[in-house]
Amino acid sequence: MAGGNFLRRKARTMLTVAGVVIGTMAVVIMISIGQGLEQGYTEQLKSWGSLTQVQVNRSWGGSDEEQKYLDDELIASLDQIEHVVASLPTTRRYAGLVRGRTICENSFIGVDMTKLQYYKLTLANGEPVSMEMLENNGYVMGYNTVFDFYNPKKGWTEDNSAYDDEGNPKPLPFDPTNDDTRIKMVFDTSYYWGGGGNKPKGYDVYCNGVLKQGGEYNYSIIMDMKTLDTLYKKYQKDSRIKENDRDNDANKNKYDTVYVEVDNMNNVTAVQKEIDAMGYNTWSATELLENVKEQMAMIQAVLGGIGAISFLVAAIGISNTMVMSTYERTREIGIMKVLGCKLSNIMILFLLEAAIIGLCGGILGIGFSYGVSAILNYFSASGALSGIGAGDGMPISVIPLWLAICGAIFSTLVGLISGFYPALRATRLSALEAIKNE
Amino acid sequence: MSNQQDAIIKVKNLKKVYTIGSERVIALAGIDMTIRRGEICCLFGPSGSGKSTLLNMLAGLEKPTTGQISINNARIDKMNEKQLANFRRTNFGFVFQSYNLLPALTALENVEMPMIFRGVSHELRRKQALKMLQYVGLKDRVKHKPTQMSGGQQQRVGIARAFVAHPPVIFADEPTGNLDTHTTYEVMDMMSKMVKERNSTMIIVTHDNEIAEYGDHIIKIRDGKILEESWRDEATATQ
Repeated sequence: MAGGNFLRRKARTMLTVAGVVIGTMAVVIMISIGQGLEQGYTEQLKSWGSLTQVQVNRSWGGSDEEQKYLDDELIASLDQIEHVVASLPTTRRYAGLVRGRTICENSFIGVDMTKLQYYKLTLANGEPVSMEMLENNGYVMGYNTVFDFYNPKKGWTEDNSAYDDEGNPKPLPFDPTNDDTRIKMVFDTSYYWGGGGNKPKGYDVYCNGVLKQGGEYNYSIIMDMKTLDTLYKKYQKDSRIKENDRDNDANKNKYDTVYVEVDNMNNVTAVQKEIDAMGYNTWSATELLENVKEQMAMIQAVLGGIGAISFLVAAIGISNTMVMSTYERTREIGIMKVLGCKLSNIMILFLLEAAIIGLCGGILGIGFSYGVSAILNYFSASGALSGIGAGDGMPISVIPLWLAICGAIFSTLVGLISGFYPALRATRLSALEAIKNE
Repeated sequence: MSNQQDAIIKVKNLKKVYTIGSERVIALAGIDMTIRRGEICCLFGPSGSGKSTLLNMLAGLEKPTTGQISINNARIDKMNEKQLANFRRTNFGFVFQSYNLLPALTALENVEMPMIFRGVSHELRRKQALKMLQYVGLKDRVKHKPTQMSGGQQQRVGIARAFVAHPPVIFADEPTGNLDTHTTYEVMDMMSKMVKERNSTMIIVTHDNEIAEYGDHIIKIRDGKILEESWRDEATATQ
């Protein structure tokens, strides 16, 4: 019967549904923009570093007693912390690779081979980096590192950029894993800069892969930390360099940075706090994410609030329609009451009708929202809306499934609530008054 | 069989006073009456006599100012809105002057309605409603909406609706007020026949002498009081 009446007064019902459609769209689109911004920032943070990692850095300054060192003792205690999957020590040397007349100066990162799988090193072809690749002076390069080879006498050229004019990644300029390229490693590159002296000794190293573009090691060269250490010692011996004070300090700090891999993103903050309490200098992308999330929650609340106003107007529309409906159906309600219809049945009849209006409006509104969202994203991708979104090419509006489902449930609930007063009014109509009017 | 045992409706000192603005209008000034089971009782009087007010109160649609009404030994003057709805659902059938069919529903659905409220299963109530419509001669109008039917046909749907759930008491408020003479007799014959067949009790409100002729028990009302009470078959009356 509720459905029958729904169809009987098409024009008015459709207009009421249209109100709900607009209300639902306003809320869903506003929240979807908030979602889009949050997703954009999260993606951006992910490119800065894994969201399940805490970085433990060397701390500089402070007196010797207070000084905390990155050493095996620390690694052992980090591994004891709850939720820590692995603590990944890295060493770092700033050195160069020489290829013909070109050099590439970058950080050489030494990794612990026993924990290799936790570093999550992935090659450009999607394969994980295996132990064999880092054995016998083997190394893998960050994708952008391959572009860094340049002739110091000529300086940087267009070819040294890993991206084209439109910001898209370029294919590799050459294959460093090909033996013919004859790349050697040098620690002191000043000769190539015209610093004089003898041509430095180049050490034989072998490139066994190029990492996937992006991420932490985009501009690095990854080696077994033992290989890196052996090569450096060899260099010190060959160049007759004595260990100085700074190197003494470096010896106490066996590692440069320790990456602590946590089992779940939600536990990162707790782990980070624990390491902070140990007196270390820590950093995590999650820390930034927490701040961003707080801001996003506020932005979403404001955007949702704006949408909620149009929803409120829609709710008043439903109430109005239903009150009108009780006026028109005074006689019908009266007849039903005289015939002994339960008051609860009359109530349900009207609530059902209001809920149907809410549900139809909600479903249509979500459908339209997907359309509007697609249009927004189209314009944001084409750059017309750049500056609003979090990053280029990121969708500005994202409607997750939960938002769609919540939208439909919410609009149905709003329908029910808006229909409550009219339904109550219907049950209170006097049966006698209702059947008297002719 | 004494009068007392056989009484289905008992009314004692029933008064109804309306307050319109500062004026008090006495609609019923103390009614005492008894209606026996199986009787067709006519409340007969000119308009404004209070006969419709009396019917409304018997049917539990209006609260009396003072007095008692008991139907089937239940004091309906003491019931609340919800109890009254339940009582009406199981005890009463209604026939109205303006038919009062639901315009959105077909004849069949209108007849089904009292059974819907009683929670009768879909199949059973459809069967019963069809039987009833056939009985009132509207077998070929089952799928018609009220607006597609004549006054007489609509009233026959109304009668089918009133009788379909076998209520012990039927109230009819000027049931033929909107009908022509020929249809009036048809409708009245049909109703009295069904009341007698089912041993129901029917209370008819009318100002029409010819309708009053159908009554076994005629109560003439004027100015809110019983002016005269008469029984067609004097032998059954003990007063």
